[in-house]
Amino acid sequence: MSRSEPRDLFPGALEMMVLRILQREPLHGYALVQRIQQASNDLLRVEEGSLYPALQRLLKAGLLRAEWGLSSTNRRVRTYYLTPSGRKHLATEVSRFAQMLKGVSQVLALRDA
Amino acid sequence: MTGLRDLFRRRAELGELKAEIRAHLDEKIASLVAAGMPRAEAERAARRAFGNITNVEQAARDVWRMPRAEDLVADVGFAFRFLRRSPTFAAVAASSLALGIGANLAVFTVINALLLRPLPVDHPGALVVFSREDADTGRTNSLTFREYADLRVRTSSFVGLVAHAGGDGSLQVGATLVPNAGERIRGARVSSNFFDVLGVGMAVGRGFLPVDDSSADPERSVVLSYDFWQRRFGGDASVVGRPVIVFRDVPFTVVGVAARGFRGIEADERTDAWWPLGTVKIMFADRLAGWNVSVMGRLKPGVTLAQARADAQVAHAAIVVDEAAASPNWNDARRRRFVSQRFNVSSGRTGIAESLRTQFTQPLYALMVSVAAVLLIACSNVGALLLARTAARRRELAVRLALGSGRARIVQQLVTENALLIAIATMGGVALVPLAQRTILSYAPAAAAAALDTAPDVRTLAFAVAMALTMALVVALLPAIRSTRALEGGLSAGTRGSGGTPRRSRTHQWLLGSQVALSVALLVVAGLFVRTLQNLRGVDAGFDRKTVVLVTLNSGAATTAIARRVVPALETIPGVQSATFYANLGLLGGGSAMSDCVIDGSLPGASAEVTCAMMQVGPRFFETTSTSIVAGRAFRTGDEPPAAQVAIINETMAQQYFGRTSPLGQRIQGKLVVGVARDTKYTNLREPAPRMMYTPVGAGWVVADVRFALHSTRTIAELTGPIKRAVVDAGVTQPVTAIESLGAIANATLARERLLAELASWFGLLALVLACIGLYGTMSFEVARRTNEIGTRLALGATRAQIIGGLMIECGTPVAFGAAGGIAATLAVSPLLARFLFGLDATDPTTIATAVLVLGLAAAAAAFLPARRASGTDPLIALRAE
Repeated sequence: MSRSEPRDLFPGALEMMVLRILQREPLHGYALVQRIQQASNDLLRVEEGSLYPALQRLLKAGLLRAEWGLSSTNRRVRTYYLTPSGRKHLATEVSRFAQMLKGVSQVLALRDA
Repeated sequence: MTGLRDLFRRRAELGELKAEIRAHLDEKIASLVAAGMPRAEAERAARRAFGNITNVEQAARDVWRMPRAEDLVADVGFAFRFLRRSPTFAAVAASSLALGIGANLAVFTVINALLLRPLPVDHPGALVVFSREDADTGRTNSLTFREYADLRVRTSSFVGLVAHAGGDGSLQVGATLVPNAGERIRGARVSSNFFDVLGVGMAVGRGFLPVDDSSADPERSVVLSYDFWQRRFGGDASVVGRPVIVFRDVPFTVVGVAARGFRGIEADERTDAWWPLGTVKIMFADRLAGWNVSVMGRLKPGVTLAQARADAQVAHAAIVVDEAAASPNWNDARRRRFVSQRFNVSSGRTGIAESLRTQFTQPLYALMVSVAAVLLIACSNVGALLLARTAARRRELAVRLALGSGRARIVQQLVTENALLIAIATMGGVALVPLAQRTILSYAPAAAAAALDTAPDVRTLAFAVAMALTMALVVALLPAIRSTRALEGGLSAGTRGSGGTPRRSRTHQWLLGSQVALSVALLVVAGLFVRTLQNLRGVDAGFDRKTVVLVTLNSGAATTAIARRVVPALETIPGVQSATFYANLGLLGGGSAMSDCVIDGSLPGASAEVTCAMMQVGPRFFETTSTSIVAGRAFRTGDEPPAAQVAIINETMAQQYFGRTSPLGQRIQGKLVVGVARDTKYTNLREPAPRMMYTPVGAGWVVADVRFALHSTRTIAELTGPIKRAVVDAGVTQPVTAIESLGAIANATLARERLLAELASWFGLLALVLACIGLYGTMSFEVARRTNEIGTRLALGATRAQIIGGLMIECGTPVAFGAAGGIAATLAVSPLLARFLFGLDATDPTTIATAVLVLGLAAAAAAFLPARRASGTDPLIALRAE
């Protein structure tokens, strides 16, 4: 499974971002990709296809639910919604990530001896 | 069940995913086109940005999979196909494992039945069994009823003590004895508290009344076993209250039927009926005190076995001292020996099976070790074959590893293949169990074979599971891990070229060496046992085994008047040269009739042993049994007491008591020695003859354990009818219970030796065959692996003989080391083996040399065939094969 993920993200990063974005508004797959790239100012390069296995994992874990509907461009698309347990999961993931980031940053900020 | 739900959801999700991906691409293309890109280019760009669609779909599908379970199903299917593709390998591997499994399970079930299964009574763990053994000979002796009664009074650790005297008897319904109307049963005389102390309830009726066992008027009651009640009376409850005859011609009353499942306290007998021990008094007024009984007790709650043992030992020591003090005519040696006997209390959880356990416990454990060794050989053999096969599939596996298959995944698949093999073998092994059980039990007495409860139970199941897990580890997991580790080097290394990995070769050699070692050890042991059996069969028993037939009447006891009526009747049977009777057993019936035999006057001194085995014999005994008289004369009319007091002693007694002096004319216990008879075997063919003294049966005696002997060259089948008619014609109402040839009885005493010799031979042979299969397999594999090396050497001018020689020497090394290891192993266990052997040492060089020679020849043949095939390799083809 790790092989199907982009090399430049750590495991779980994509899922976390998906959850965060869907927390603001329900979106379909393509729109999600667009939103990730916009939000990261194109700093993150997400292989578009890799989004779908991640969505499937989140669906399976019950963190998302999906509904078919029409997009703004009038296409039949599948829109993803955050479930309550997804909301909870995101909160814990974000705080864990913040902790990790803090730790890593402190190490990286060490002055040269 | 989320797994299953996911499995169904997966199909739906996959359909939706395809549509979703399509929508995604469409939208992307649309936006790119809107930004001014040509449509064709936009399509390409959209796909590029998306990545590999198939991979995405696969990854998404994996999310919903139950990967392990599904891989397993696929693996099992694959494994089946794989095994079917090499049926010879599959058959050899599965059948060798199956033989090992079947043999192990069978031996274990028999051990379980004889030694481990608890009695079906209330809290069997609290039961203990009392025993005593002679400090010098280590032989266990029964307790007497008097000792039992004393122990009850003098101990305080027990809720209760029970006495039990089991034996073959007959049961006839009705109040009057009808000749030959009874049927053979296994009966037991028991103390009246028997069922209460054991905690066995009654299915129907009541147990025995709690009366004093030694009262003058014992209760004449019978309790039937549930099985016998069902078998004989069809479970009819009205049998309670009916009269039956189980003992001479005295009517007893059936008072109850014991609870279902209880078959008595003997693990090797199924008791059909019990009656009170006190009834001994009806026939033998004064004999009850000295009656031999087995004694069991139930510990009081909170009392440990060690406490109870100490308690009982103190009590018994006092009893022994009292008894010795009450016997003023014993000499010092007799007294010392009696007082020094060891008394023990051990767990009675599994009941009693004294004779069978003494005889078979060690052989059974020896068998268990042998069959475990056979299974080990089979396992290492199959393990080696699997390793070789995996090595042959290196290329396939390496390609799969290179293509990204996880090592764990490959190990899983290999393990599945191996586990399938084990599963097939286990089923085969389980199917073999009944046959193997019957084979082992055929060496035990028929009654014991029928009585031993070999039905599977928790312990059997646990054993089977433990065995399967061990095998799974050895045969399935290790080779799989081992072969994939070797592969990790990658595709290029080792798949071509002539060099193999030395590490793997070494594994093979170790496996081969240990197989050879185990085979040699088993062959040596088999050889020792076979020669022991031959020695025993050829041993001079002192009597003629071929022409003597022994006849036993029910209940054993008879007056001499009856015996004297039966003998002439037997002698009128055509083809019977002579007939006689004798008492107190002997002639391989064994018996414990050891009596004081003190020479009148000074000899032997106070320190000498003064007991000897007594046999009371009827007229023409020595003639009928072909026991020759080496000095003096046989008994003749007029020798019978009380008119005369004469005796004949055997050679051993003459030698020990009188040395070179002639015993003729000397007096022992007041009896004049008139002759010396040849030594004859007494209890079995193995033990040397004890000191024996024969005296004529006196007129008007009531003797226990009477048997008749007749001399005839006719077969048992021809004689059976006439013998039974002769007994009825003589006016004897007791049924004939056994007609056996002395040869058959002698052979029956060799049951243990036959069991060891025959089964060890089978296992030795099996081990040999397995080792040869292993050798053949390893050699074939080695040859196949080195085809091009051999081809090159042939092309460079090596002769076929050189090639064959080289290969044989290579595999000769582990064989030689293995053989040496095997010899070392047998020498190490030789002290354990010695006690089972007769007429040769456990280190017997001939046997060891023969075993090594047999193995060497078989190994050479197994190695030669593939080597010769290899030497026939066409160099061109061999080199081109690369």
